[in-house]
Amino acid sequence: MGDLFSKEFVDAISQIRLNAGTVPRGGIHGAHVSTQLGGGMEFSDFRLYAPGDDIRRIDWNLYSRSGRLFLRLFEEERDLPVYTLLDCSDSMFFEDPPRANAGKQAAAIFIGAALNQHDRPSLYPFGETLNEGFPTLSSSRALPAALQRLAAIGPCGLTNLPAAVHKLKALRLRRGVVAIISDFFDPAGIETLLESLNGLRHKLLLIQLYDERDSNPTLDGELSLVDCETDHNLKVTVTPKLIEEYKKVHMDFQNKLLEFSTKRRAGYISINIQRNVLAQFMDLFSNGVITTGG
Amino acid sequence: MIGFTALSGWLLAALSLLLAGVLAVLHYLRIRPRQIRVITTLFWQQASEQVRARSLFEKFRHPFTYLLLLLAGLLVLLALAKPVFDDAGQPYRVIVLEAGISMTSTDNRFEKAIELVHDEVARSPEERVAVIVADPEPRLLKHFEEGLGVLKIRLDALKPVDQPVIRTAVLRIAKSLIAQREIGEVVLVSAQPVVLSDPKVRVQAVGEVINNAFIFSATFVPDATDMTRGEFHWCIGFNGQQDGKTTVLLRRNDEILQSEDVTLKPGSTREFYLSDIDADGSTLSASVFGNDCIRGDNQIDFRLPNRQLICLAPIGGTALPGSLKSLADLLMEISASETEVAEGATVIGVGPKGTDARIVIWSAERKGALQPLTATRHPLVDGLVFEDALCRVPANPLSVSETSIPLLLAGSSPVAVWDSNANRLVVSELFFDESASVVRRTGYLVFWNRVLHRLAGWSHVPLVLTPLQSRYSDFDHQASLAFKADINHAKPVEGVVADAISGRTFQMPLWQFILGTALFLMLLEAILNIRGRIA
Repeated sequence: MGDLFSKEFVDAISQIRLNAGTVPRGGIHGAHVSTQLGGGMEFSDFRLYAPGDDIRRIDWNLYSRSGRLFLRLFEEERDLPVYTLLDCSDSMFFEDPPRANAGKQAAAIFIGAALNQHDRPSLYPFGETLNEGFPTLSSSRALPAALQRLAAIGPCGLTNLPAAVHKLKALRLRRGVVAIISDFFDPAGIETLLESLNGLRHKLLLIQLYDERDSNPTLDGELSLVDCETDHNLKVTVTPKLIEEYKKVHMDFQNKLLEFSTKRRAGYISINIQRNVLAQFMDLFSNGVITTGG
Repeated sequence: MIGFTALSGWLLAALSLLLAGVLAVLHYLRIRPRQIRVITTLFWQQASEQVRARSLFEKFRHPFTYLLLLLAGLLVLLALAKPVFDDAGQPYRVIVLEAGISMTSTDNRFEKAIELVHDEVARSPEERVAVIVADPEPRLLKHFEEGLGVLKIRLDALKPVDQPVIRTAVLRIAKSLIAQREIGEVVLVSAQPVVLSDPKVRVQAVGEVINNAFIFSATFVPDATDMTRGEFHWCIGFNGQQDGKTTVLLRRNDEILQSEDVTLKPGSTREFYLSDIDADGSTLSASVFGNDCIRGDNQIDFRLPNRQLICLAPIGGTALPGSLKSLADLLMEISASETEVAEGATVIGVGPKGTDARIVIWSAERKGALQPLTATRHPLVDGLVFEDALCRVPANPLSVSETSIPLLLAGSSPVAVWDSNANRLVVSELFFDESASVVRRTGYLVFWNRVLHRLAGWSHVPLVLTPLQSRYSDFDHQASLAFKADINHAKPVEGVVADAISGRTFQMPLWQFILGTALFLMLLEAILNIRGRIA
């Protein structure tokens, strides 16, 4: 694990909580309020009695006043499945230090935060498709081993998030939170990528790993640009005019990502890979609670 | 058609191919892009598509800059080859038209010569023919770049002059005009039989060889004992194909001094002389008639020197002492004279040693009114201006003798005369009158200065007389040419010669123009390649 997951880092993530609002039905007892009403402690609502209902939950006082049978409903606290999709394509390992390091730390933060409140995190690295990560964790005791496996993940080819999402859908997992940690540089284009996310039934959290050079390239002159994933060769004459156009295209990319997040009510976090990832999380969520959005 | 003076066509072509290849390699190396791996080409792809879509020029920038460089390089090569436009087989032709005295004949040979010039001009392309007129002031009538219209106007206005032509100097200028040409010739249009050994000069004779008698020289030889007289020698020459009969005539005013019929052989000269001629400054007219076609040298006027003894002495009255004193001072300044001022200032003698010379001052008894003082056209006072000086008119006319020649007039009355019988100058005392403003005028001293210098500065050396109205004496042909053309004939340069003798501005050679264009293209290419300025 070494520098990637130091003791300080591990200690720090033990303080982080994950707030997903209400969680889908199902699962086991946990720290999150579920949409499922049942045997919890917090009163939620009344409803008319229907045959087959548990008669122990009939509100007799209300019956005495109204003459009708009402059932008391309570909110049930459930655990939250946290599916972390970590981009492990070649582009994530292209730079030095690789962008994947920041991704791994972000993933560790999510896994750690989930375990802290007895949620059930799982990790799915993806490249050209969704790979097998490690099974769902249910105990914080499993964290060191999980981090060790996380640190060992290497590059796995092209970025193909639509294929990974497609495979994720096919797994028919219990509804939870899907955190996608990526640079979102998919050769298919941002439109195709976002379209594939539309059909996802989980709560969505997009964590973009960015470098300032992504938006402000420092190239100049006659260049043959080779894509680190596709080996696509592009000859360009980098001029101020081209740089200006590049920035416009990049800005458009960012805007589309943000627009999608807003429409989809997904969370969006932008992490600068040049800076300390944990510090950025702490700054973003000063109360130590990561809110996953709608 | 274009020719090259510094490189052969084949060498130029080979160098051009080599240049194209070298430039192509250099250009390829220059524009070959550096290969850089990037995290994604996604954004670059879209951005460059946008830029290219907006700029058609951008798509062609690289080939265009290569072509620019190639063109610039080829132009430099072309310039180094020093190209000249060269019509095949057509020589550069400089036509020299003599317009001196030999063209002033009675047989319209000058008109024929101009026709010949037009014929010669018509044989060559307009830009390959130049015309020089050869007279005492040679000049370019048409340069290579000038049109034929200009030439026609200038030829129509051209007249021959009664002076000889310095042919060698003009031919030197003409040859300098074709010095840089591969093929070129000088055509000399002349009325004289000319034999030249220079293969580049072709002589076009105009008119026939004619009989021509001409005045060759004239000399006045003063008498050893009486320098106021002497012998007049004059010489006539004759050109022609056979012996010619000629009448020679020498006149002074209307008086015929000499008349003789002579037969002269071609190329011979004959000398005539007339003894006992007064050196009185009078004009002699020498003429030849008869078997002669060239009129410009048939009659020449000569002026004899003025070598009269003069006496200076008051007659009758007494001249003002101040006037005589100033006159005496003036005489003292003339080194050639020997001056004696007699006691009582009555006689002032002047003249060469051992020779008496006197000016007689005539005294008028009565004084008249003040009148403007003017000088006559006599050589002694010709051109003298007294600046509106006033002088009293003598009551008695100043006429010492009937042969007196008026020199100065007060109004219409003479106040100074030349007495040709007594060979003396007679000046009215009134000229020195206190009330006359003459004494205080510059013209007074100028008058005496001129008279006395001319009369006192005699010598025994025969004088070669020069014709009146001649420009020979003050015209140095060589110096004039050098001044006008500013030519270094040791290293003739067409541009300099043409510019200097025609007054035209300097013509930029073709190769310089091409070189300039090449530099401009290189500059353009460099500008296009400045980052951020493309498209």
